[in-house]
Amino acid sequence: MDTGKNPENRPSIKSGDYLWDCSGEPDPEIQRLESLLGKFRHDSPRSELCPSSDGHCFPGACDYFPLWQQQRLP
Amino acid sequence: MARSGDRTDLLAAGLGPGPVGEQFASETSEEVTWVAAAQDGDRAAFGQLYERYAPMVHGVLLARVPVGEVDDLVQDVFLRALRRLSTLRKTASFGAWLAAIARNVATDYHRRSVSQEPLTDDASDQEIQRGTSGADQDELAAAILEAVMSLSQTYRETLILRLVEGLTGPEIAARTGMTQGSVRVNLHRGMEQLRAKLIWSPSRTAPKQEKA
Repeated sequence: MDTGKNPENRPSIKSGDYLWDCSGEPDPEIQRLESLLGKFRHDSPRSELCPSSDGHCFPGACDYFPLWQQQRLP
Repeated sequence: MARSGDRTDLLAAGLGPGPVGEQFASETSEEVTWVAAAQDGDRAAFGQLYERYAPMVHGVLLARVPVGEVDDLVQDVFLRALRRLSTLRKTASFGAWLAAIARNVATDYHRRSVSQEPLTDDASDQEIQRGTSGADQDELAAAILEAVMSLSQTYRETLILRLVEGLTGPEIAARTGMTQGSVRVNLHRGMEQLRAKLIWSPSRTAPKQEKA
């Protein structure tokens, strides 16, 4: 596993590194991969987890965490 | 005042000032508040943590288990986190703690799944025909994901967080607790290896996958 601790093995830092932080000139190949693989992206509305105002919560949450049912902040 | 080169090095190490450092320092501060509130029973705060971290958890799992299992396991991870939240002492390490839970959930999944097919088979040397239909695009996406999954686990997790979940390198580091240097190395080396496996032909939309 690479730890990134060895500076000699660390890839050079370029300004405008699209792979790193989407900055600079877009890399068409990476953009194509992003576009194709994006279909596997997490797409879960928050309501799946968060209890609704009527106290309904995602399965099991209230069993594991009773305080979950007591919203303390508005 | 630091020179620009110094600043770049500091930022790469996740230590320096500047927009990136300030952004993640602000996020960390926010998260510490959310974690503390969630530990105190604030469900809205836990919801905020879910919203911010679900893509990271999803990516960590996708790098380890079949696609169809990921969504259910994401819920398992957050349930496990919810149960154990009171044991988390270093609230600033929530991301690394959650990523470790996600990796453990994936390991547990494989322990339970006796007939599970291995995920690290070399990518097959098949070429998918050019096409424009949604089904063709789905096949192509699946073939590319298969190629990513044939990389070492370190590289595939980082690449999936970047290419599938759409997180930037600094975001991956901030969410998983890895150093920015490690993430950078994994991204670039993983991408090198992925490029070697995918030969894009101008006459095809799909890459030909080469055996490792």
